[in-house]
Amino acid sequence: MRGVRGVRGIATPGVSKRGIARPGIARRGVTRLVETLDLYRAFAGASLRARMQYRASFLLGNFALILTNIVQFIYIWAVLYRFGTIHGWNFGQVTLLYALSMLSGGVFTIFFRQFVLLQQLVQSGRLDQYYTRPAGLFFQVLTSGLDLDGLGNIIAGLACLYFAAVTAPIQFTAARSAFLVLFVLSGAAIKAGIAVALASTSFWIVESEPLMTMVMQHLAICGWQFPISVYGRFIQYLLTFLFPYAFCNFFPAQAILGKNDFTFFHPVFAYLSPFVGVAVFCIGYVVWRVGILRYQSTGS
Amino acid sequence: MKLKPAGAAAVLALVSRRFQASVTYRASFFVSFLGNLLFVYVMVSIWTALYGARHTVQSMTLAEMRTYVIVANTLRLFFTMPLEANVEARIRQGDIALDMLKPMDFQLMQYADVLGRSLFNLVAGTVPVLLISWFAFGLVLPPSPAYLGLFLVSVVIGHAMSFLLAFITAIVGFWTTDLWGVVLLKTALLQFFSGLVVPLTFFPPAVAGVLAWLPFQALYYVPQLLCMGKLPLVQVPAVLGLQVAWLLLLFAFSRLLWTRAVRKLALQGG
Repeated sequence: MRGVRGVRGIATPGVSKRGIARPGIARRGVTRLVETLDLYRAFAGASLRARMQYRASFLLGNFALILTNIVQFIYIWAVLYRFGTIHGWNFGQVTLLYALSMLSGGVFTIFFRQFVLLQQLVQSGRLDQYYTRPAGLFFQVLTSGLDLDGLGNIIAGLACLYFAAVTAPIQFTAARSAFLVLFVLSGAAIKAGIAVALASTSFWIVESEPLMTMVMQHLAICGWQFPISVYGRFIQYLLTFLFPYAFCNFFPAQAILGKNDFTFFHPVFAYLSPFVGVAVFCIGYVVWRVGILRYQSTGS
Repeated sequence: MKLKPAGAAAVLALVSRRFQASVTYRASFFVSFLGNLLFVYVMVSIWTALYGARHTVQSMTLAEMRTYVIVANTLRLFFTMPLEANVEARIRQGDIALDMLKPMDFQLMQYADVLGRSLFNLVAGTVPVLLISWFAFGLVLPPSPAYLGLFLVSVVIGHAMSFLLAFITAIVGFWTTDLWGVVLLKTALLQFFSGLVVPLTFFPPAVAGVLAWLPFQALYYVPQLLCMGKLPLVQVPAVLGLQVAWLLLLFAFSRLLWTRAVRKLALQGG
């Protein structure tokens, strides 16, 4: 696919770089949105149907995810069964941390999993194919892998949430429920932003996967199950400012629980997740744009 | 299926080839090295927070508990093997047919491959992380050379067990279209029921009782008990005997599965 490099500059009449055919300027905004949604449904539907060809694998994957979550949950239970609390957090409260982590992770997996595999798209040259189609690259990568495996996480997350509500205990008023939904979506945006930014490094370096593994698995795992207040200052800062996974569960959980375990941070952090989510997602998108602009095909 | 004969020289050559090849995966090794170091820190922090002001829980002091998680996590580098992904890729690309033409048994070949990789991880990963952790957090040393020796024996058994579990999981890939879910499940089961992140005695007695009969504890829990001298010497033969019995059982099972898999492969036409 050596010749593909020039394709980026393609300027077919009536085809914009990002969307499909444009009608009159006036109605462009609305039409564009409707078309994009239609296209999203078509693309995502296609990738879903492709996935469903392997129904056994889909069911097995989700079954495994749910069981994995149960096992993790047993671990939290076994530990807190012996010790009662960790840094002042009881079993129900720790379960809420885990539930928030699972729910935001599930939403992230369903919609953004494909970015994790960007390195493969680049290396195999499949990304170059996307250039030849009249739709945005981000959009195409986004829709190429709607991944229902995240459902397993969401189901497990909801079960944990119910469990946390009963044992913590948490009264789910309308306001609190609304906050919860907002926090889950913010957490998913944070995870997506970080994943997109890290994945985009494959435009600069050939191997982006080790970096992603380091951050998205090794580092993120620090905040999955237990409050980050058990760690030293360095890790807490890292998880709050550089890779703000703490805003996926540690801070918002305190807003829901009315806890006060902010260590070095201001209590207002409990409500900052939505802003952090928007900001991190935007940063991820900007890194992606910059990466795309300097991208040259591997030529494979 | 009969075991194909293979010279020890051939096996050794494979082991050393994989050992040398491992050096080339620098980036991914570096990440797993750093990740392991981070995980040691995470586990030490969590257990320190859990202990709080307590001195001894389940007859384990905090210092022993820290040693437990440090040694278990560094062993993890030695026990981690990319076997399933390798075999899955070979099945998918059809290379598996070539493997079967080779004059060495497939399972033995995989074991040699894994051993080379594991030895590299041992030298470049386990030992340095262990030394760093020793300086950073301190370690409780084995009470006598006998326990140290038994610990090393149990580590070899644990490694073989880890291989057999991975091999059996990989063979499942002949039947399911992708292995991702199966591997995920196996990893989760191993993580918690092998004593990697929490000693089995910390589970409620009923759960711990069941786990003591399963093969998973051979990986981390039994070596840890021996390392810290927590298992009376009179009980050692029974405990290690159970591990060996599991090893033989799983080996027989893996051969049976492999024979079935080959038959299926032949039917499919490779």
